[in-house]
Amino acid sequence: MRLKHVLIFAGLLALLTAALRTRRGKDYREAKFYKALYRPHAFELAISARRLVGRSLSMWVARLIGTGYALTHPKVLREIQANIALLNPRKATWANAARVCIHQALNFREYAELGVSDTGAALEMLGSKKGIEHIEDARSDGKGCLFVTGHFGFFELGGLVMSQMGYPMTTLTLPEPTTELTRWRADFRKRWGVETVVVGNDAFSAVEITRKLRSGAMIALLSDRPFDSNTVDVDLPHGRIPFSTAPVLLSLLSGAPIIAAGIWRQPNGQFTIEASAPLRPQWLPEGREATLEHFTTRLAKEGLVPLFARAPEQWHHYSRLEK
Amino acid sequence: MERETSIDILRSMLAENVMLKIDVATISEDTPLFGAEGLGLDSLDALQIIIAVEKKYGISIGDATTARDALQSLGVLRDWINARLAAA
Repeated sequence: MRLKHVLIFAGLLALLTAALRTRRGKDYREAKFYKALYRPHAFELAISARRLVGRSLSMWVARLIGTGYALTHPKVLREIQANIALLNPRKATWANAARVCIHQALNFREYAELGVSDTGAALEMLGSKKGIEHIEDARSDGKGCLFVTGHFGFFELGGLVMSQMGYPMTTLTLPEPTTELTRWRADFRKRWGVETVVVGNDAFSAVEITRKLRSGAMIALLSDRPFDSNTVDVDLPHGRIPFSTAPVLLSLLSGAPIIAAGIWRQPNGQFTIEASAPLRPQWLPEGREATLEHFTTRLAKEGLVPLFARAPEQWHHYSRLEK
Repeated sequence: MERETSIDILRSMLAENVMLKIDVATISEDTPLFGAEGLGLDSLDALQIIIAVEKKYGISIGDATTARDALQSLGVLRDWINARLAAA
């Protein structure tokens, strides 16, 4: 029985390896695989497949896809290894880089799991909560709160959990590769009480976000894959990583404190959510640049990087981050 | 706090606060700050300018509609700031 399963797994892996190898592109965002995956029909297909095959088999399939991707993309694996080395050089192994791909495939599966689950079942995905008292501390300021995380773990689950705990969230996102997917994912989050604001299309969206924060909104955003020039290069023990200055800018303008948070998968398959102590940026006499650099660096060093370092194999970056 | 502003002062403010792709001296008072036909600044650039205006003149741009009206171009921003400084 076991041997049969191993042989089936090996056969499927070989087929998948061959299939993925022919579809490999130079930049993962340009790859046919990526373009095909990031469309509403791919997400809907995953939900239908999950309904059809059940939880256990869907996890095997996700692992198979993740492993297949890792085996067929050696260059991407080297990039991932370089990124893991920024957190912990000893963990920058090929196996951990491959695990990043497997966790990404598992995240896609969890997305499908959420699609077939009711709220109670979805919340059972959560194993433990740490630092939740910091949220009440942040809210005691009478403003909203900025939850800052990275492309780490299964961050989408965080919005659901927070909303169900009585903290209705708004997620800031960049536009997806297609408008249809942007709309589809916003509708998907809305099902769990999570609003979506797409930034980037409207130059004044950030101003609207500060207004929402001043009126008490709780807003989640990612800061470890910044774009354009609004970044600070943070010196870490093993290299420099650019982080977005957007959280500190939004905080300075709105007065809302910042909480670094992460949600990642434990070996038993359940997730841990952890929130750190609030950061309350204030203008420094040295000026704007110094203020942004100081507080963005503190947010990264004291809040985000320690979280990412808990599970480097769940930090999802597929091109080199180091500056 | 400054009691009046000018295009030159706002040009300097722009150069200090956003990453411009062109020489700041070539920006006229009518050049749109946002959009493909203008400087193409993004939403975080808008925040940077709003913070700079708040710090330099003590004037708050608190909502998207006001920001859209005030930040069309340097000329519009100058008139908008001066009108509020005069009224204060």
